[in-house]
Amino acid sequence: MTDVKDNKDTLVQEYNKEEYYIYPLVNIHETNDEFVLVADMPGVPKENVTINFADDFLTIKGKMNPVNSEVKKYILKETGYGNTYLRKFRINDTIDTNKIDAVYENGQLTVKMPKHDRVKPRTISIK
Amino acid sequence: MALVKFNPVRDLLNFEREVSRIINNFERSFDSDNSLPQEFENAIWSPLSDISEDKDTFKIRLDLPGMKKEDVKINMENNMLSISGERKQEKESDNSKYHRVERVYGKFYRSFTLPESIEHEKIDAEFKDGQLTIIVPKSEKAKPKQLEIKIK
Repeated sequence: MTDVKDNKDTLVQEYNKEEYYIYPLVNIHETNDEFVLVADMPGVPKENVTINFADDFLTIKGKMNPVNSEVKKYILKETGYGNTYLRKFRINDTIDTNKIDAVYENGQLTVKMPKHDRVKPRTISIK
Repeated sequence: MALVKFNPVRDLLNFEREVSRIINNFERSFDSDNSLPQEFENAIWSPLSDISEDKDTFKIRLDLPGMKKEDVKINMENNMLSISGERKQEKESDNSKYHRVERVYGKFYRSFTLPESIEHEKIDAEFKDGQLTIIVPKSEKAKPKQLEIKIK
């Protein structure tokens, strides 16, 4: 699984250039059976999270509710500008894409991507 | 000019005093200072925050993804608002292999000194979708006043 943050062309083609995107922080770990991706998207309501899989790319996107336009004066601003989280990952063919499963809770997205049976480690018993 | 008796031990004593002062300072930097809360001492990260202001309130927003309302503690003491808690790591099997670790875990602490002109009793907090919003209302005297002056 690789990240495509440097591949700007694909992002520009697919998404509107005018919008600012926030880059969600992720953890990715792999076990014998699956890949697990955990992404932080604080402030995004559950119904605004989308996970898309197309052409070997997994795209995670989350749109925050717009901040009240009355609030203009920031005393401190540490979080990113923009109200949409977006990140793309290239996925290799070891993942069984039909079985991708995701949970979103408290601003944290967990995507479980099981591996195909053919790549899972197995022991061969000797007859 | 007064004559001072030469005392070879005095320089040695001064030197000893100087060395113990340095050592004491060094040790003190490791001691827990009582003026700092324990939560601060144990914290290993601090959440990203935004503070915005409008005419009636200050709004403090902290990113605490993956946490539950019960895991966050808000404390107000002497005009210092502090937020602390712990983000626990998910359980993983021992044979898991990490490809990317960007998110932080562990105890966190963050504090803000609030201005005098606020309504202490009316501070309100809400936790939603991994974001904590604390609303601090301004006191009447701090709100901008508009006075129309009539021309006679």
